Amino acid sequence: MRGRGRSAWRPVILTAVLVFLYLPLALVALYSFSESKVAGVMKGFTWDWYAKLTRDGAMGQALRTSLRVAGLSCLVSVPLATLGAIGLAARQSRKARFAKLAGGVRGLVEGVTVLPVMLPEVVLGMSLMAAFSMAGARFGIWTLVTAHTTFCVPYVYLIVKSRLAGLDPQLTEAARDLGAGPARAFWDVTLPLILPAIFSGTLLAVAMSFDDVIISMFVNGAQSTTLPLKIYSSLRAGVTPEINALCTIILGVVCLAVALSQLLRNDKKRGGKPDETDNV
Amino acid sequence: MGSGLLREGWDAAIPLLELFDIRKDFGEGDVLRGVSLTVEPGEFLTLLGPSGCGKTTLLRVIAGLETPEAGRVLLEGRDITALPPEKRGVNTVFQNYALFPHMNVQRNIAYGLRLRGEKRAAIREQVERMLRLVRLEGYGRRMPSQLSGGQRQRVAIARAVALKPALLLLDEPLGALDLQLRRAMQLELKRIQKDLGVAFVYVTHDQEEAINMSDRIAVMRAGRVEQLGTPEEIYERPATRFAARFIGQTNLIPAEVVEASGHGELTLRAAGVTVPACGGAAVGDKVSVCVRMERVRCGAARPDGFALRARLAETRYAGGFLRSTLEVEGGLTLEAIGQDALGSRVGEECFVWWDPALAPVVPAEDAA
Ligand SMILES: Nc1ncnc2c1ncn2[C@@H]1O[C@H](COP(=O)(O)OP(=O)(O)OP(=O)(O)O)[C@@H](O)[C@H]1O
Ligand SMILES: [Mg+2]
Repeated sequence: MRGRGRSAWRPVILTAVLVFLYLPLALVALYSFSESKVAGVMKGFTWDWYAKLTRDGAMGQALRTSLRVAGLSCLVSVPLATLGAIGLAARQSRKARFAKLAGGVRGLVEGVTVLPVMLPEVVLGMSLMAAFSMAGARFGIWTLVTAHTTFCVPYVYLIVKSRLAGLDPQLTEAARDLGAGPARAFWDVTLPLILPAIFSGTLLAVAMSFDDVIISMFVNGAQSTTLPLKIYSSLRAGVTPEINALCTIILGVVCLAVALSQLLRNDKKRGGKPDETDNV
Repeated sequence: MGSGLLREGWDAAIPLLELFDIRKDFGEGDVLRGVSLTVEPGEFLTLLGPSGCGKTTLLRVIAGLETPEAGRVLLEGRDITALPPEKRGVNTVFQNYALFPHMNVQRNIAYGLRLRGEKRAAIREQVERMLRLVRLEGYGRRMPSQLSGGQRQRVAIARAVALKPALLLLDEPLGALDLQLRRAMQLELKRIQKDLGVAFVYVTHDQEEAINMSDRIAVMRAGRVEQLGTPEEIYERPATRFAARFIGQTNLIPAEVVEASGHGELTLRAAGVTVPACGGAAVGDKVSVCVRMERVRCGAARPDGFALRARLAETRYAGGFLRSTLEVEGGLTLEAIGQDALGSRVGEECFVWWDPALAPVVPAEDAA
């Protein structure tokens, strides 16, 4: 009886949690279509706020900055993290004597690589700011890109690494056995099989970069305000329907990126891109 | 063996593969402890041995996937010890097939040919031929995940054979299959090997498979080749207790040689009885007499010549034949296998004998 009672409560609790989590988001999306000028009042339906957004020069500027930062930091962090994951997954040192040492170094490198995931963002932001000022860097898009790269690398690294760990090492050996050199075997076998993970990591990195506020706050320049920063600063003038519309857009983009990322990650069985082509 | 120096001169009958004193150590003790063997062109050589004795490691050394600490690997007289796998011209059927999951069957089979830079038409033709060979016509566009275990295994064979290597390495290719499919595939493999004239180095720990398929068997134990010979040689004249036990079902009777004729006829004392056997041993040697279970004779009437008094202690049905336990005078226990009952009922007295010429002796202690 107790078991049944508990299972009966389960959907209720689940619903409560989901409502708690997603009701605010849903409300923001809802109000973004409201005709009322006062945010938080639902009246009629309109696309006006979205239209207005597109005409807002400052917002457009911020959006462009955000996209540029996300794109550039991916461009740097994805190859960096992928190469790191491949390098660290590479075969153990042949000499048993060095195996322990190599293992220790590997652990250390990996720890340092994924540390930014655990660090409080405020601390990371502060220290990045300090480092940039010390180096005499001009705060602007490049400091943003560098900072975003820093926190994107671990996510891409972890995803690619887990995929590599699940890869059968005999596949590369089979390629070698059939006449492929190490580089060719990597290109023909390893890369196609980890590509979904790399895409997945990229999308996650885009999402992380696109919605970052705290770290960006420390390292942005006067001319380089990202979208979330722009929203944050315009909130001081109160929540407007435009902000609701903007948040809805960001929400949509981020959700899409994360969903795609998950989808690619779960595409394990296939092992990679489907290869339906028949031309041998 | 030991022909390394003689080989310097031109030799018409160069063996396909020669291994000299291969040693491999992963850091926790030796895995291969000096393996030497040769494989002739077109030969079917089986590596047979218990789990962990180094069969896979030896194959990987031949394929170039492991570097031995010592020893040399010669292919057609050429030293390939230091060559990477892609330059060896030896192909492998891996224990778990290792098909490329992102390529369909055709592309898997064509992979090696493409790397070789062959013409498209030639590749297509060869792929078709290989699919016919392994009886998978029409499966070319399937992905490996859409195949059964047996079909995958055949694709793995086709992929390795497509390159027409002189030597094919197969690591327990039938390990994952059920008995029926296994039998069918044994015949199929043997047919492929004959048709193409490829030499096989074949790993298994199924003794029946080894006996049925091989030209020669290398019985391996703890990183060494314990005995190398035809299935018949190993069966009839095992070199050690281990080899005797690993192939066939056998009684090993500890005994001491009391009389040795010059022609290999031996008389031995074992547990209070005197038994005859054959083989090379000197008076006073401690040996084991190897009597195959199906060669133990038993009857109520005393035959002419050698026989021991015994009591039939137990008879068990063992699928198509009967297995009996005999308690011999002097405390010896023998197992016998026969088509039918031994002519005595359980508990009855009887006589036990065997043909001394079919009962070889092996050293009592196996070298460690
Ligand atoms: N990469 C490795 N690192 C350390 N030890 C290894 C490695 N590969 C194999 N070994 C060890 O070498 C020994 C022989 O292994 P191998 O795989 O050659 O055995 P096998 O005869 O093929 O056994 P099985 O019949 O179970 O496949 C084992 O004790 C194994 O633990
Ligand atoms: Mg093995």
